[in-house]
Amino acid sequence: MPRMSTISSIGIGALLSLILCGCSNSETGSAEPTDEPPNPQPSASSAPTGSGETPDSEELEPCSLLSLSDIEEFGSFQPPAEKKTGGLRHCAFIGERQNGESGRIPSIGVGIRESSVGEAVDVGLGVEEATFNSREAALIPDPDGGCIIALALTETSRVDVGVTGIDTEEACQLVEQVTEIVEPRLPGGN
Amino acid sequence: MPLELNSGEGFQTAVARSVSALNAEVIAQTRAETKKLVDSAESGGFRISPEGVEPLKQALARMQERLDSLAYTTIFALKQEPKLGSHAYGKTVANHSLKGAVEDPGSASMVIEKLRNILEDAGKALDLAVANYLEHEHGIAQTLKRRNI
Repeated sequence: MPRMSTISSIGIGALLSLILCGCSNSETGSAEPTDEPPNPQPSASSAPTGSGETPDSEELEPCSLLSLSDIEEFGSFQPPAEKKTGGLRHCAFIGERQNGESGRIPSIGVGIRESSVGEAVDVGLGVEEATFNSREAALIPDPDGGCIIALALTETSRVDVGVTGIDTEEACQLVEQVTEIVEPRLPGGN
Repeated sequence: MPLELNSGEGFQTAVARSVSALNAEVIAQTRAETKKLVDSAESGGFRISPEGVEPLKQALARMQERLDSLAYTTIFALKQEPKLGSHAYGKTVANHSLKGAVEDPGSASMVIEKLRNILEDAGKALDLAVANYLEHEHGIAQTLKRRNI
């Protein structure tokens, strides 16, 4: 059940029109104000680091947020690899090619970044502000084949869920499905 | 001691810049040559047995996997590096770093995309060459059959 209100309302058609015209979408750029306090408290049911504490992004392990079995329905992936690239601590699930398989296959990543959702970088198709399960979020489509959903963790940190390797439209559809798995596991959700 | 680059730039930025440095002309040339391979295979110009093509297909798949990994790192991690600050110098440096990964016509992600296309063309040429081989083999079998050999 998709719960990304703004992104769902934009739809992939609108995303495509963004890709085609290369302009920003003035109608859907407004974020829904969240009811959360600046430092959202983790909920008792979903917080991996214990309830009742302010989420600590540095304690959150990216590979604890997604497993191979979570994504097996989306394709074949190499075992998760925890990495640090620049300011991103991430868990990479690179697509696995079976028997010389060619063509486009998805790779999936989950990462923690010490910067806010508001600092999401426009890589050519705009940044769509949104909410995902009432959590501040942003959709970042990439014209070179990929899509990221950034989810607020604290005021100064976020969790990025990304899909690369396939067409932008397809990547944005898949990343929403993966985010539905990851978001409930984050501290500070509803 | 971790690697420190004399230029003072981050390792990943340097990698992105190196990938970007691949000459666009060379890539275009390779693409054109691979297209010729596809054209040749389409017109029956060369053929290869299913057994013979296997290691070549495996090699192409390994190369594709390397590109999958590079594209992942570039698109998921590098392109989202935050700007260095709102002051003019920070903006200049951040923009310069990002340029190599994102904006230039020879940017890392665009180069990766072009290399992907080349590998796809090469794979297509091999598929056609196998089809040619099977067709040729079938033709020979039919001829032998007609001659009762």
